[in-house]
Amino acid sequence: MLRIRCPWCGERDETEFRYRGDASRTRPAVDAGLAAFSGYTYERDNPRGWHVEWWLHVGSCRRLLKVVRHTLTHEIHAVGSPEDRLSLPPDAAC
Amino acid sequence: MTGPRRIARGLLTDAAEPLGFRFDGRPLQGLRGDTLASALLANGVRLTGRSFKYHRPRGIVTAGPEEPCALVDVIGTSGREPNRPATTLELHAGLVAESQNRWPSLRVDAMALSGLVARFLPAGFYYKTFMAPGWAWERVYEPLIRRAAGLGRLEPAVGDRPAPAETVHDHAEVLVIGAGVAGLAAAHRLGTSGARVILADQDAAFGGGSLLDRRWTGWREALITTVAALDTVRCLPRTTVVGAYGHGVFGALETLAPAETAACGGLRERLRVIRARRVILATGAVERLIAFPGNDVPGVMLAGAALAYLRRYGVAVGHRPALFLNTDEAYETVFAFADAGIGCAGVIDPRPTSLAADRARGRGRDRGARRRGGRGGRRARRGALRPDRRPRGARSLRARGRQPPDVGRLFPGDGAREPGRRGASVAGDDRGVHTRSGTVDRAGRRRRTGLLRPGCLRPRWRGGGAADRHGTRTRRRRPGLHTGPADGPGRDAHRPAVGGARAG
Repeated sequence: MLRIRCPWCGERDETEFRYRGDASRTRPAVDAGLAAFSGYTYERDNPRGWHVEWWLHVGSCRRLLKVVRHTLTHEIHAVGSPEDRLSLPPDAAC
Repeated sequence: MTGPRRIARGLLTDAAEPLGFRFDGRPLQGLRGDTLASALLANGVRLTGRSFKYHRPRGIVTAGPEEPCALVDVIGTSGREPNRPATTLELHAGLVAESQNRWPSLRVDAMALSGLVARFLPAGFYYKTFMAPGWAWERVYEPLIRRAAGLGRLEPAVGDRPAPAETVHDHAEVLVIGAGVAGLAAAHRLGTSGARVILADQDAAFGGGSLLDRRWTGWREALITTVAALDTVRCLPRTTVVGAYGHGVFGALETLAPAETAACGGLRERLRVIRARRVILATGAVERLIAFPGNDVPGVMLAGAALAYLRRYGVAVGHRPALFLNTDEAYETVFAFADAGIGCAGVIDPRPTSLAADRARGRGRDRGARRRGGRGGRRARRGALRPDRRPRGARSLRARGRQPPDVGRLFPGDGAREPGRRGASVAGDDRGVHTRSGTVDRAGRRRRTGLLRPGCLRPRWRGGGAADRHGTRTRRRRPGLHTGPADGPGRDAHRPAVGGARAG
């Protein structure tokens, strides 16, 4: 079970949060075309290693968090607010 | 003393408080501090159940939660609870337990007849045999087969309490798993330095391996008192940590003490979800049963279990046991039996040299004990060691028999036999096998495996994947996991695991 340190509430159990997907995707421009939007909507990477993702703290402050998590070990490197640009650990190449 | 086999004062039992209990309707007596298994052994009960399919007789093999054979049904105020290992079941006054999978009784079992023809039954026998006529499967064959197989019996409603178990959450800075010597010492050090500690042990009594040796008693009792008095340390006896999950979350199952069960209206178990920043694994190691034909007959037991029953509960598991052993540590059992005045029928050690064997021979304790013991002479004549029917030089070990007391004859067939005597070699021959003829109550081999080695919990990932191509480190220590030394005097958890969980 994950323990996520919410910047506003402190360390809480995974059960309080809801996963909201990859945080590294950016929405294409309005005129980018159907293929770009299709990719943005449906295609997901399934990386092995560090992953930046959204978590919504539904059980408490209801704010969206950005979390850098290792998909193999579940180690959490950093947690920040949506506008933060979180740095990946030095051993991450992606 | 309760029971004919109780020959000494145990470290855990309280001779001043006898407890009455029932096994298969038979009223018996044990002591406070006993487990059901030790109380049964003290009363000379060796047959405790029947095997899953062929109804082979089964007895007590171990002295801990690793027990594979002695599973019983417990009938309490809250209903019938199947498949409880007798070795972990704490004895309390009025305990009612029943053996499993036998009919009409444990000693005389109708289905045991199938054991006589078992060798003629190929795999998948009844799927191939009970086919015609078609209607008979549902009405005749299946009910019969279902009746033959299985262990405990489930009852539709277990208890009058809506939930016989509850879940609670705990938090700690350090979780110490195992309250043996290492675990107690760690909890004491951490607790006195101000860390909030949870100390969990699956046993009702703290001490682990130190409960096998009276010399540790003073140290252990002083430390337990000190630790229990610390505000920072929470002691959880009867609590088995069953899983380590991510981010320092642990699952632990607490079995309530009989008195607490009664006080809580039949509540039997408590699942604890423990969140800890760090964990210390001080779990020790378990002994494994050696594989040989007939190792499941009642009377065959692990050497370490025999030692535990003698030292912890003061129960002698046999009159003239024979031991098969392959580590020096196991000689502790030989010496313990000698000290208790029980002679060993034989000590079989397949190793060419052994310091402990030299010590056993050199001090003559084995022989002296044999003289002192004196018991079992009749049995010795009846069940003399016989050679196994195998080519000379082949090393094998067999136990035979279906019912006590004829069980557990040992057949060493390693070719190192003294001419003229059947199957027994003399101590100190060139192969280092030192066996004496005589009956064999049980055979045990002591082999400790390191179930939790340092690094064991580190996940190991095989094969190249996307992350490898990207150069990501794929071996990563799980945060917050640390292993401590195995507990108990002279125990060693750092030995390579033998066929156990794959260690990373």
